[in-house]
Amino acid sequence: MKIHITNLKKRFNDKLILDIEKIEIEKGLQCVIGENGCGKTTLLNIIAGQLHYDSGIVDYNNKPFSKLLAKDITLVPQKPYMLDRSVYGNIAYPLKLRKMSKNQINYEIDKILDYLDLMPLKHQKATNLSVGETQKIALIRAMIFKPKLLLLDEPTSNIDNKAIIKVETLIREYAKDNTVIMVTHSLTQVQRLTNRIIKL
Amino acid sequence: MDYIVNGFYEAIKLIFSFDSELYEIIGLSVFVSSSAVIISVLFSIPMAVTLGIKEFIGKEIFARLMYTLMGIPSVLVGLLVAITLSRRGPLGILGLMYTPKAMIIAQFVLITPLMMGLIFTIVRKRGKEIERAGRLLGARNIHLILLIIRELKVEIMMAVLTAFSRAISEVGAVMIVGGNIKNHTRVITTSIVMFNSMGDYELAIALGIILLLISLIINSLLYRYKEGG
Repeated sequence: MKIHITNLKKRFNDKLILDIEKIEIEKGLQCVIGENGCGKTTLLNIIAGQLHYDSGIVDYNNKPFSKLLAKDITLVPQKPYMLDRSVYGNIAYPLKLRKMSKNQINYEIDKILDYLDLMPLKHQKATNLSVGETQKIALIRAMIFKPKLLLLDEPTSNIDNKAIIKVETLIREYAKDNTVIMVTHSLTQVQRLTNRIIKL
Repeated sequence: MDYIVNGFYEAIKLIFSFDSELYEIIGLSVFVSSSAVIISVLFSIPMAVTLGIKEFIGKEIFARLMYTLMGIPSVLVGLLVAITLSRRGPLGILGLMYTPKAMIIAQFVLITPLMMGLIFTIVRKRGKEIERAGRLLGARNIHLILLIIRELKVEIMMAVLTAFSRAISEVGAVMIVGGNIKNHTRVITTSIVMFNSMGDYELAIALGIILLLISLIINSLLYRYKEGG
């Protein structure tokens, strides 16, 4: 999915938070970097259709945001909300909404949990997970239904170094066929992942 | 003092003798209040969830009105329902006055603002983040409502049980619209009032104990649900 942003402005209480002249985002992975409070999260929320903006244009494949498009877009916030059910139930939820068969759901979930060494968490209550585990499960839950545009707000900020490499590989693989926009504070992570950078 | 001790003794005997009049009264009470709660649940939960997450003009006024109605006196509800259902009233043609159906309607009117108000408050507080999470995963319309209900099931269940508690323990509304007719509209609370005025303390105390037991069961369920999730 291609994203075109032109003359985007967003204010909170008369304070200009976001002022972007032009950004063009192509398929693949791009990282958004910038200082605290420069509007990175605000930008992700606007692209995800979660936040209204004051002026400007945000186009998706040369079309404005619509309910139909929203099905192909998702955002993993810094503090993701876990549904009050098991890890399996959380990951299965978007797939059930898309009427995927139970066998297929089980296969997809086992495959990705196994890759990230998270099988022991499968039947645990998701609301009892640690912050790092929550981030990983939220990322899996977002990726599993294969949205064409995946927005990630510091998805590895609480994940240990060993797991980060696997998570990064997962994100890189995903970005081969989709558009991924990722906010991060780690410049070394940016260097590992991509040379396409949006600096705010 | 003897009549009190004696009253308790006779009451316990009555409960365990399975007196038909006593258990008929208990059965009707539970039936009327459960029916009112079930009908109210079908209406209040989807309505409160939808209104709780939607932004609309006058939402604050609506909230205040509902909070006011949460504490509406039961005699006032009884009076309003009686005026509506009485022979000369707008729904008099239905002939519902002094029937268990009238009592169900009165209790429905009484508990619906309470149930809606409790659910509306919790949805206003927590519904937005659940709605956001649901939307980001692809949920729309009915799926969003169902998701919010499932996520807030403990709080919603507590609201339902609180409403049942209010329904089964109120006396004003059912007395006015039911009339406390023997073997027809006599329920626990109206019976306690009547037996007390007649000086028949054994039956009044027996029914009081039953009412207390029902309250205890409801509160135990509430506590268990709250603790266990």
